[in-house]
Amino acid sequence: MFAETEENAAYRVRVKAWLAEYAPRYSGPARAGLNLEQDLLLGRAWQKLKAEAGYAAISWPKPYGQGGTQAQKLIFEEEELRYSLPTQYFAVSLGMPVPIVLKYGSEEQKARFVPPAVRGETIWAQLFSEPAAGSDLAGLRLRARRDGDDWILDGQKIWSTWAQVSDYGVIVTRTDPTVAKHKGLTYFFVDLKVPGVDVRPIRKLSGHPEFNEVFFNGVRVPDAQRFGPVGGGFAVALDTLMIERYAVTDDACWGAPLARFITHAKQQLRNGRPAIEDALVRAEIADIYAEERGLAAIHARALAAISEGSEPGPEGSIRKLLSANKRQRLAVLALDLSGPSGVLGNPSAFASEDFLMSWLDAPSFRVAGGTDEMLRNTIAERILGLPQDHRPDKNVPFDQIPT
Amino acid sequence: MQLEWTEEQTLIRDQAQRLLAECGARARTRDLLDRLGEIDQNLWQHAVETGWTAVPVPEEYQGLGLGMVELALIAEQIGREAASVPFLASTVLVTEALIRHGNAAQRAHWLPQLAAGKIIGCFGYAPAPIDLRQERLHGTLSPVLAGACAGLLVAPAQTVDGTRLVLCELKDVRPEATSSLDNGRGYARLALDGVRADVLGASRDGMSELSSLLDSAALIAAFEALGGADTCLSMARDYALTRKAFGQPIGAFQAIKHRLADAYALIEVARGNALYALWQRATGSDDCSTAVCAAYLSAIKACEFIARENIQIHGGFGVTWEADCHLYYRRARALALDLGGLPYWRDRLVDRLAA
Repeated sequence: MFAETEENAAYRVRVKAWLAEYAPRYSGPARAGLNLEQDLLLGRAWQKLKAEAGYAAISWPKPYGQGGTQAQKLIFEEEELRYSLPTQYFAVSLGMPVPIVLKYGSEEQKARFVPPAVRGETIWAQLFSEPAAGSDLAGLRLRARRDGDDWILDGQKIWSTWAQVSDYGVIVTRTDPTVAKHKGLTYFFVDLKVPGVDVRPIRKLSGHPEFNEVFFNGVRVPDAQRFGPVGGGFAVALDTLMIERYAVTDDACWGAPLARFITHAKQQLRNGRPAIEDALVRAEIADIYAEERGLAAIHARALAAISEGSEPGPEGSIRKLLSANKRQRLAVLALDLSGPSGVLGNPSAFASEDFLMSWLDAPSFRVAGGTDEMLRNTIAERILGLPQDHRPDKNVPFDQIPT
Repeated sequence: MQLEWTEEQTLIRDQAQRLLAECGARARTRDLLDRLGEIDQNLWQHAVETGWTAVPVPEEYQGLGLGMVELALIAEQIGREAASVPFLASTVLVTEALIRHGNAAQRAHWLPQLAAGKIIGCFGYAPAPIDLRQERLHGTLSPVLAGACAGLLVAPAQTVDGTRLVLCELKDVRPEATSSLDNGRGYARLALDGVRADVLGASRDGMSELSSLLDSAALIAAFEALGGADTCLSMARDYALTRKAFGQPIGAFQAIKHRLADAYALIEVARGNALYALWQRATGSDDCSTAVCAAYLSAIKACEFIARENIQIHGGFGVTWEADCHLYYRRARALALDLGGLPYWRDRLVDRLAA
């Protein structure tokens, strides 16, 4: 039920010990004062160390990964999350595009591209969203036109996480605008270092630099880099989004956690008494704890089910929907307790340790990786069986959809 | 998300479900709202015959010697039908109080009667304990859950030796049934001045024993709340699929879809907590109290949310007496208030977290 299997428990013990020995050299204080370049170098070193120790690509089949179980992968990720490690540069890369290369690539492509990515030497981006197409992914416009053995790409992608340090990317393009929107798409992988690719940074509201817009101007892509049939790109796109079937989400949604809030509430005063004695504060703590505990219970069950070979259900969607909102609520209350000095902060502080930074970037998590609204639609439609939204563009040829 | 129930447990659950349907429990609850101090006697009789009251009683006292899992499974079914029976007060609270804190004579005398449904117990939880002096009680308890139909009272009382749990036979007490938001729960005012009572023989520290008993009750109440929440979610979803407005089922509108998605998430979280707390109890964990608090609070939150929104989604029909919606709206609120109130449970949880 909720108890971990003996094998998993033993694995967890090994993982904890290994992390305890090596992670401190790459996390927390080791990252203080580093600029992006330096932090990325540290991140690459950490990824390489994991690869050498057998803790990278844990659940991927050999020879590209460790051939371990999903449960082991999740256990390692859970334990790794206890440290503030520079893993973010590889999160998208190893979460979605590279597993897709493993699934759709030729033997030669797999051998060439996967191992360097696993070792942290290369980084892959996911080039899906566009200014006119986020939640409505099938509404994308970037064109790919056939030219002999190649395709020529023209258009723009946006919200491309870490594209500025990426070597490659997977991309969904429109190859036929005369059919219904999701039927005229084709999927490729691209080398981001070729002529015509222009990566421009977009600064996030938190000041963080990971977003970019990526312009494609007559970019030549060989047909050998196509994944899936012409016109079959939407299915590969969905596959990409689903390939990480169940990912570990930090209880605190990568923000400052409840334990830190409790400490903070003990230190701040409300009406001359420690804020931890205030009824409103206590109600929030109780509510947030109960929610986290429930999500953890759901996660434990999902882990057990995955260990037995079942498919995960909607647990991931529920977890993301709730924890992103909770991160925002908790951070707001923490700042409220600080009073006027809540405005003060350090932009290089980690969101996992600082409530101001946790609050500032909280909105990103309600949008990225599936907006609150899309998640709710998914739960309502797929689990509760409620009807799909009215879609005026359904079955309309893309070039006839009014914009 | 389910724990793996045994065959016997599944049988108990399914049997309870059938019984509640056959007895028309929901409709009876509606009728009882217009009456004072009456429980669903017909259902209770059948429930006794089925063995509900014997579930937690040890075999040596003619019980079934089962435990929290079986109680939880029955409670969930009770919640699904918003049934009006004194299960929480009598079968959970008073029965456990006797098992854990009664002396040999008290256990031998009362447990078989509780198991056989010959007597109903009520639990006198109040912010301040009543007094016991020279074997006589002093004070009034109100409202007492199931007090209108009970023959036995357990309550914390102030004695010369400190606070203890006391046992009082109610044969000479005239309960004054009190009008409430959920009359099928049999609330009553019990005037106890001069009434004979005994200390529960093995009671040593009434307040901490009370706390522990309330933990058991809260866990079972969480399952009752989850049952009600499930019914409300299904009711709302089914209505949203059939009711049409502006040319389509109202369930196609995001305002409705998103509300129900939120309800689903809350219920799943609450269920996770309830199962975890039950598992902790069943595996004999030392510290279940935190888990029980989390289970109770999240179950009440989920249940009240969907009970409200179920009414909302039913529109005008939702605010009628005839609709089932208000039965669950009332029951959810009662479950939130009967065991001390939410601020009390939040305090208990935060005291443990901030220690």
